[in-house]
Amino acid sequence: MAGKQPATAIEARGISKVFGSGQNETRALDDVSMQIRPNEFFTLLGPSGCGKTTLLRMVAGFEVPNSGAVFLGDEDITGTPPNRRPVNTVFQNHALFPHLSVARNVAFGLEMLGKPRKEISDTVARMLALVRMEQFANQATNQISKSQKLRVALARALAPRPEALLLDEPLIALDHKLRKEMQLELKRLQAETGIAFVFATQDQQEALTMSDRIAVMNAGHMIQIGSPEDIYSRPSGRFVASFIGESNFFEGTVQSVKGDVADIRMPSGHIVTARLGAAKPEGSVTFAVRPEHVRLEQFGVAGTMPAKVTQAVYSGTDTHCHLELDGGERLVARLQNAASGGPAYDKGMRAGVRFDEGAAHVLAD
Amino acid sequence: MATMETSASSASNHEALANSRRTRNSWLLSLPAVLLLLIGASGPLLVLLVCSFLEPGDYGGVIWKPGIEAWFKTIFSDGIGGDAIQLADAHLLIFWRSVKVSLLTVLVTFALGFPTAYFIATRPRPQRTVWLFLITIPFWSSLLIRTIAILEMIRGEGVINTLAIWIGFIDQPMQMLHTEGAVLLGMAYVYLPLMVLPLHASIERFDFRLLEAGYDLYANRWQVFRRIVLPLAGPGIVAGSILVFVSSLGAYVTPRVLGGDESAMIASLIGYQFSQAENWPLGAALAILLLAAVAIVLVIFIRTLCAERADDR
Repeated sequence: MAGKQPATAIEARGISKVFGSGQNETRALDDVSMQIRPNEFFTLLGPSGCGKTTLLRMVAGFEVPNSGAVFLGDEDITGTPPNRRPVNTVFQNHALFPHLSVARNVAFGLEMLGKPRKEISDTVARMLALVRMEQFANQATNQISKSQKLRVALARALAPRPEALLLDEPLIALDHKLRKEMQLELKRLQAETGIAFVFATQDQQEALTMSDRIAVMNAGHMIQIGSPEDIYSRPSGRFVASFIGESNFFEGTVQSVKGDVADIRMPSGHIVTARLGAAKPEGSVTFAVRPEHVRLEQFGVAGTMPAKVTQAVYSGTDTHCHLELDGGERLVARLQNAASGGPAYDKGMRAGVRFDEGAAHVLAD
Repeated sequence: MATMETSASSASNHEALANSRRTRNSWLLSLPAVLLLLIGASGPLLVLLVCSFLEPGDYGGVIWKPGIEAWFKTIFSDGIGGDAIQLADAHLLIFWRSVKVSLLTVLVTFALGFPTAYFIATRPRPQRTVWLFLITIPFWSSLLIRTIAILEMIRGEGVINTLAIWIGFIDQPMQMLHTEGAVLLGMAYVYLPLMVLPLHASIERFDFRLLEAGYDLYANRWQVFRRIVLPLAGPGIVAGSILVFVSSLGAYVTPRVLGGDESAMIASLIGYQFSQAENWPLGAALAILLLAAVAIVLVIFIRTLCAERADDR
């Protein structure tokens, strides 16, 4: 990543889209911009209805923005119909052609591009091998399982070697185990083909494990774009901090600033040192602390905030301790369970709360 | 364990028994319809078949004397002197016209019906019901009355000619009645719903996201239609075409009223043999020929369609 910035594969510039009119008007996208690099796994992450599907459809050519533009490399493709864009989509329901065999499905795009027969059959064989579906070439698409359908949809969309592959929540219909398996599979396909993947999902875990970069969207707005680590440990605002992973939020006022950290006084009177990031270092602020960065110690240990355990929820690897500080603030601590089993803290116990160094992060909003 | 297995197998036996009883019972349910078909279709067909191998009575009916003259006469006619054998030109002409007009009717109803069915199937659901209802409205009035209404439009002093002369497009009334075009017009009108309804049924089940997948994979509009829409509408196209073709080939009222003697079709010819010509065996033979023609066309049609689908795969 160091050195010169690579050219973009796809760029969306200031896209806005309004559906309906008058009373029923909904703003699906509001001034959304993103730049997708070649050979990157880019994820659009947000709750359902946040506009990620609309944005994908705009890149694919199924929707035209009310304002803004879509670029493929340096070329403005805002008005280009989908069949003339070198961009392919893996649809949520896979949309395999039911009247064609697996191999004919994969061949479809190449046939439409008028490739020679030999090249088509070679590419189809290569693609089916890539997604490990060689032995199903002549099956009908209603004779294969859901995850196999996804593999065929991937092969079909990759066969014409598009500039970018758009994936619209393709894993949503799979059960947990297959989902995990296909996540790895998608990652492998992206690495092997070197094609930019634009992947829409509402599953933050999926986004964190698969992506090179994540774009978090909400209510038609682009909230934050960054690496999984950026998004997780330096969320720009309250939405990102709560949508990706869990967060404890605290109010406070800035007491003093030292470089990019500030001492913040909570209403309960405790002083917490927090990273500032892009937030303005003055007045009343909100800061966030991840539950796994909250430590519990003996009650009364110096430098800890006295608290009471209100609830302890055991969940296998961890125990979630719901706590109330003596000043009134509530928070959750995630404590890894020891090998010896049971949780160390239980409902009603007193404890001292401490945040890991650098765990507190001031939010911009 | 052993007892459990026994009870499980006895349960499955029980189930199999219940299943077989269910099949037997459901067969019984179809009995009235089967009986009706036997009495209404197979019985008369048998009568016709027997009839065609007998000799005609002087004033209609048959004489119980076996012969194949009727079958001979369907294709050949005695020459003027009685010694030369010629092809029965009139019969062949009518046969050919019937097949031609029926095929054209299929083409016209498909060309008109497909966009209509597509339009209806892509409306929101409540609207669809209204449109389908509108399509079936013509069925509410008698076929004869509707056909006579068309006759009123296109005859020599009919609405169209009168209007055209009044505006000044033409000086003389056009001959529209008693032409093949008139028959085609009438049949296309009468049988259009038979094409639209099955087409609609198959287009309605369509997953329209497949069309997007087609566009996404570089297909243009025509290719999407040819490679995705048409194959998926296949069952509807076959059903609609068969319904329209079979109905057209056997149509009596419409060709009779709009085609007259000049553009008679096979049903009129059969009717003529049973009434004016008083030659029941010939009528019966012609009717069986018609049936055979329909069967052959159907088989060819379905074969080619199946072959094409297998080819696509």
